[in-house]
Amino acid sequence: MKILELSIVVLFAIMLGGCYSMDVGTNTALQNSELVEGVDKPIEHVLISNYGWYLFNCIPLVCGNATPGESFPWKFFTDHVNPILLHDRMMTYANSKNANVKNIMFTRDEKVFFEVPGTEIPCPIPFLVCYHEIQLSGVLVKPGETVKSGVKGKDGSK
Amino acid sequence: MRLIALLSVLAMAGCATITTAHNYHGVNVEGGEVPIESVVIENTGWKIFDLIPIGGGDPQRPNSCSCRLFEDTTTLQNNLDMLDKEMKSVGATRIVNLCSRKIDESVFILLLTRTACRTSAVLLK
Repeated sequence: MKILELSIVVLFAIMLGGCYSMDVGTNTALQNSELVEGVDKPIEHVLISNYGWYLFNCIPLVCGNATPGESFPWKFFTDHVNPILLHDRMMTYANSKNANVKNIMFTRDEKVFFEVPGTEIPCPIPFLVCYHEIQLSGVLVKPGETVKSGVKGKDGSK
Repeated sequence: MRLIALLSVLAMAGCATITTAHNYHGVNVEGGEVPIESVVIENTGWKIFDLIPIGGGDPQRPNSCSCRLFEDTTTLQNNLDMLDKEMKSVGATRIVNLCSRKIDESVFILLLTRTACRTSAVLLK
């Protein structure tokens, strides 16, 4: 019985646990576009997100692991849902592609009434267990590959 | 009963939509550009336990009653491909203010998870 209870608790913790993800997309329309008149050629659109659960809105319980190079998906008692880490991941990725970043947009979501997902029954005490989420969206651009509008070729070159 | 089951599957299969707004009332966007349209792309899909996809919107046929079963189509790449298609259809060559966001909702304690991937941009000639 204890094993069953423990399994349920572990499964529940895993299901509710944080998650870090990085989604990247590209296509010719984006690559042939110019985000700002006459400057830099876009190469990829990137969306990075991370979420986690916090006790009293400040003590991190479990978050998605945003540490570079680590495969373990969760980080316990460490605040990884912070814009600095996500920004760092975005810049590291951009650096690995020798690119600059444009159209950077942070979105932060916070729920102070704990609500078991799917039940819509919140705990009446606020700030007991809180949900934090940050998403960072941006466009990677190749510096120095300027393309003047109206004189583009098929591949976006002059 | 079968009809209800079929309707439930169809309702949960997801939906891909492209919404555009054209009327700028003479207002220019960033850099004094005259835009063609503002675009909001949304693709939704359902998963079991946030792992097994039940279905998602069909990015090949947005704004239609079409879906892809047992496939996770709520990706950034699919949204960009829909944006590409929209750009070609209106003759746009450039994008400004491109940004995306993913939203997850769950029912019955993660038994079913609904994911929505949204992308918005302004298209220019």
